Amino acid sequence: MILTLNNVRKSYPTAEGTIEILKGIDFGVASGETVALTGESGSGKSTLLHLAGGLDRADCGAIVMDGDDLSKYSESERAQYRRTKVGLIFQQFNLIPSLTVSANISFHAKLAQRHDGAWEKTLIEALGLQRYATRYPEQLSGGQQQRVAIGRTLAARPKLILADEPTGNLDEQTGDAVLDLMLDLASSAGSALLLVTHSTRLAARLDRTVHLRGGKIA
Amino acid sequence: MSWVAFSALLSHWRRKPLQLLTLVLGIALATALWSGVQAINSEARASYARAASVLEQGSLAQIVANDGTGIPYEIYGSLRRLGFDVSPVIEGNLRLGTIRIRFIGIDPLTMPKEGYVLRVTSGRDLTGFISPVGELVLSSETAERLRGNTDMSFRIDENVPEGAAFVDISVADRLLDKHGRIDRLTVASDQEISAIAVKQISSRLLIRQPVEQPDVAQLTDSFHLNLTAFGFLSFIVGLFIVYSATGLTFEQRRSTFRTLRSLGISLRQLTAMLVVELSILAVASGVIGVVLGYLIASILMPGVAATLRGLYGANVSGSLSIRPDWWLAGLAMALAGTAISSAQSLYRVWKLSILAAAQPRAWARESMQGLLIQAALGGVLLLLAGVLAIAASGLVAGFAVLACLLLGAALMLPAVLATFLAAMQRTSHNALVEWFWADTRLQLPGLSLALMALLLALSANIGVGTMVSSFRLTFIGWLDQRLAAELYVTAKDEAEAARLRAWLPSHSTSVLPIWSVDGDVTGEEVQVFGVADDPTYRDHWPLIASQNEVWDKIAKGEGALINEQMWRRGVARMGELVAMPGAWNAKVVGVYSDYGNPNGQVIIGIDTLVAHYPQVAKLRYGVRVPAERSTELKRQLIEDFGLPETAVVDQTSLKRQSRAIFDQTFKVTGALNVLTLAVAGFAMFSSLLTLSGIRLPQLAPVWAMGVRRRDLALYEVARTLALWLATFVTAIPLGLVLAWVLLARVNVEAFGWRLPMQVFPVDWLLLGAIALLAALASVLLPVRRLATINPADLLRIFANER
Repeated sequence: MILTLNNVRKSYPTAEGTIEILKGIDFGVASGETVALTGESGSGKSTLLHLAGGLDRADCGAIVMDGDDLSKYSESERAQYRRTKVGLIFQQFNLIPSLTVSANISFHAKLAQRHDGAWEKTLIEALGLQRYATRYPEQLSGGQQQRVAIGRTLAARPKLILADEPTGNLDEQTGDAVLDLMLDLASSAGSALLLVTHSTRLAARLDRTVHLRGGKIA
Repeated sequence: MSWVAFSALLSHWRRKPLQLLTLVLGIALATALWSGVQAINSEARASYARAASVLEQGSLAQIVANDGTGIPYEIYGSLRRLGFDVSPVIEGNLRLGTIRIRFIGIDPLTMPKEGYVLRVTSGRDLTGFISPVGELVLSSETAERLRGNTDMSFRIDENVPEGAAFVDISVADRLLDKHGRIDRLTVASDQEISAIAVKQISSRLLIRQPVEQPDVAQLTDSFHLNLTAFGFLSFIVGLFIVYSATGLTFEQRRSTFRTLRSLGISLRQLTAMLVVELSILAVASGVIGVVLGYLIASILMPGVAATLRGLYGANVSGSLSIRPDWWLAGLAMALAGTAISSAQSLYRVWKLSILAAAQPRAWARESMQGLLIQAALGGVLLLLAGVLAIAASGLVAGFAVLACLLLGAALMLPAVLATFLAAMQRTSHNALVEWFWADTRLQLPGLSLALMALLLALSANIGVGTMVSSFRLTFIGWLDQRLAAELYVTAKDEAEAARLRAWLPSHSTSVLPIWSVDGDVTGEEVQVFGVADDPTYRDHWPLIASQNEVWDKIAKGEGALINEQMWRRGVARMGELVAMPGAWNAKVVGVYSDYGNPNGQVIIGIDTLVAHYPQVAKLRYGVRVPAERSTELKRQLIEDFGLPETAVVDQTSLKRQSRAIFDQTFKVTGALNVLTLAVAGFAMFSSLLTLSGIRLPQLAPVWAMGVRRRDLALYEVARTLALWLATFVTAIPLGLVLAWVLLARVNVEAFGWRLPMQVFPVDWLLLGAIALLAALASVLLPVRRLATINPADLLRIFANER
C-alpha cells in the first residue's frame, strides 16, 4: 500500500458546537491503483482528501504514506511531503493566475526538483494545450484550466494524485475527456489516484470505489 | 430610497470595519493637509490685508511723486486750497537704539476716516498724539521691544502691525529728516480726482489707485503657491487611498448589488443609495479632515510666520482663527475628492449586468492596453514639462513644469515597474523565484496607486530636500563672505556714533561703516548702502558678475553694485545707468548675491553716499580685528567704552542667529515633507491590507504544493522590499530634476536669486531608510496575518461549496 489510513478521526468546531466529520476511517490505496471516493455532501470526502494531502491534521489515527506517518510530521515536513509525494487537483482548478500555462505546468515539478522538459512537452501535447502555452489562466475556458491543473500535477510525477471533484465544474462531455486524460497520464506516470466524485458513472471507470457515509466507510 | 436595502448596503461596513477606517482616513488625510494649508494661506493673506489697510491705507487712492523724491509741502497746500480732500503721509525706517522701526507719520486732522485707524475719542487723545515730544501708536509687542530705547510715550493699539508705529507727521518729519517732503497723499474715498487735474498742479505727480492685493501679498505669492502645491500633492495622494478603498468595497459588494437588483431595487435606486452613502462618509470624514487640518495649521503657523518674516519681512500673526470659508472649502474638497475617486466604481455599478459574476480581483486588474495608455499619457506630460521648462517663463509656468513632471512620472511608474518585473521573471531559473516576480507583477495594478503616491512623496522629498540643503550650503558659504567683520556695533545716536568713530580706529585693524538710506529706484523700494574702500570687500564680497577694477570704481564714485534680485528682475543691467533716489544716476559695475532679502539693494562708495545723502544715519559699523582679539575688543567696547551688550554683536553670534533664522524658515517645508510621506505610507499600508484580503486564492495553491506559510510571508516582505527599492531608485532622478526646476526656475522667479545645485546622497539614504521602515510597517500586519493564518482558512479556498 502506498497510502494507509488507520482509525482516522477529524472534527471541526462550528457555531452549533463541534461536529465530527470523520469517525474512524480505515482504508488504503495501492501503488498505481485508482480509487474513487464517493458519498453524500458533508460525508467527509474532501476532509479525508485534505488529510491525505497533508493540508490538514487528523485529530487521531495514523495516515501512513510510503511508510511514514503524516501525523508525526512538522509543518515543514508536511510542506516537503506536499512538494514531493502527492499532487492535488481541485474542482476550482486553483491555478496561479500570474503564470502562463506552460509555467503553471512546470511549477510543481520544479518545486519537487523533478523538472523534465520532455515529459512536460508530452503532457502539454497530450492535454491539447500547445496553442495555449503562453496564455494566462484567465484566458482559458474551465475545461482548459482543469487540463492545466492536471498537467501541473502529473508533471511532478507524484506517487499519489489526490483529486477533489476535478470534473465537477465541467460539462459531461468535457468531464469525460478530462478524466480519460487523467487516467491515461496517471498510468503513464505510475501514479496512484484517489478521486473524490459524486458521480457513480465516473467512479465505475476506476479500479475501486470507496463509499463514505456519515463519516465512516460504508 | 428603500431603508431596508440601504441598511443592507451599510451592513458591509459592520463586517469590514478596517476597510471603513481606511476609507474614512483616506478622505480625512486628503482633506487635512489641503485645508490646513488653506487655513495658513487665508490667515496670512488676512494679515497682509490688515497690515496694508492699517499701514498704507491700502483701500484708498494715493498721490505720489513719479521719481520717488517725495512731494513738496507746497503742493499739498495747493491741493487743499483747491478743495481736494487729501492727507499727507510721511514714512520711513528708523533705528531707535538697536531696534529698527517703520514710522508712519500722519496728520490726524485731515486723514480720511477709511484710512484712519487711530481711536481718538477725546481731545486729550489728540493733544497727546500731536504733542511736540511725540506719541507712538503701536502694538504692545513693539512697545515692549522699544522700551528704554526712546523718550517718546506709547499708546497701545493692537491693530498696528508688529514693527511699525504711527506718529504725528511733524514728529515723523523731524525724526526721518524729511525736511517738509511728503511721501504720499491719501485721497478720501468720496473725493473724485483725475490724473489730469493732478498733472496740472505738478507734472511729477501721479495717482496710485487702491490695490486689490497689497505688495507683500504679491511678494509672498510664491510661498503660498508652494504651500498650496504641497497641500494639493497630499490631497492627490489621499485620493489614491480613497480610490483604492472604494474600488475594493464596491467589488466586494457586487454580489449584494446583484441580489438587491434581483429583489427589485432599480439601478437608479441602487446608484442613488451608493451616492448617499459616499456623501455621508465624505462629509463625516471631511469634518475629521478639517479638524485635523486646523490642528496641523495651528502647529505649523508659528513656523510659517517665522518664514514669512525671515524671507519677506511680512508680519503675520502666529495664531490661527477659525474661518467659515475654509471649513466649507475643506468639506467641499472632501466631497469633490470622494466623487472623483469613486466615479469609476459608480460607473461600473451603473453598467453592472444583473447576471455578472463577482470578480474580487477585477477592480485591480488593468489590461496591458490600459497600462500603455497611462504610460503614454505620462510620456506626453513629461514632454510637456520639458517644453514648458524651455519655452515658458513665470512662477506659474515653473509650478506647471513641476506638476507635469510629477504627474507624468507617476503615471509612467506602473509601466516601468511592469517592464522591470517582466525582465526579472525572464531571467529567473528557479520556479519559486519566477513565481515571485510573476506574482509581484500581478499585484502591481492593486499596488500601483500606492506606489505612485510613494513616488510622489519620495521625489518631492528629494527635490525639496536637495533645494533646501543646496540653499543652506550656499547660504552658509555666503554668510562667511558677507559677515567678514569680527564685530558689529550700533550706536544709539549720532553723538555716540561720533565717539565711536574716534575711539575705534586705535583699537581695530579697520572700521567699516554700515550706513544706508531707503528710496525708490525705478519704482522699486531699495536700500542704498555705502562701503568703505577696504580689502575686506575686495577679498570677501560675493560678486556674481563684475567689470574690471570694480572696487576702484566704487571707491571713486564711478559706479554702483546692485543685488542679484534687481539684476534678475531686469531693473538694471551691467554697464547701464540706474536712476538713484534724489535724482542722480549711477552706472552698474557689478552684481552681488544677497540671499534672504526680498527687496532691491544698491551699494555705492561711502563718500558718494554721504555726498548724495548727507542726512544718512551713521550709527552702525563693522569692526575688523584679528580673530583672537575680538572677544577682548567686545569686552572693551562694553566695559571701557560703555556700549550696552545688545549694541555689540560678534561674528559667531550673528552667523548663529542667521543660521537659526534659516533653519526656522524651512521648518514648515520639512514638516509638510514628513506629512506627505506619512500620507503616502498610509496609502501603502491600506493597499497592502486591501490586497492581503484577496490574496488567499492566489497563495493557497502555492501553499498546497508545499511552500510553508512562513515562507509565503517572507516572500510578501521581499515583494514589498522589491517594489519599494524600484520606486525609490526611480524617485532619485525624478527628485533631482525637481530640485533643478526649483533652483533654476521657481526660486529665480519667486525670490530673484539662483543657487548652485548640490547633491546629498546621505540624505537620500536617510529618506530611503525612513521609507523602508514605512513600507515594512505597512506590510507587517498583512504578513503577520499570513504567517499565522489558520490552515482551515487556506483549505476553504479548495472547498467545492465556497
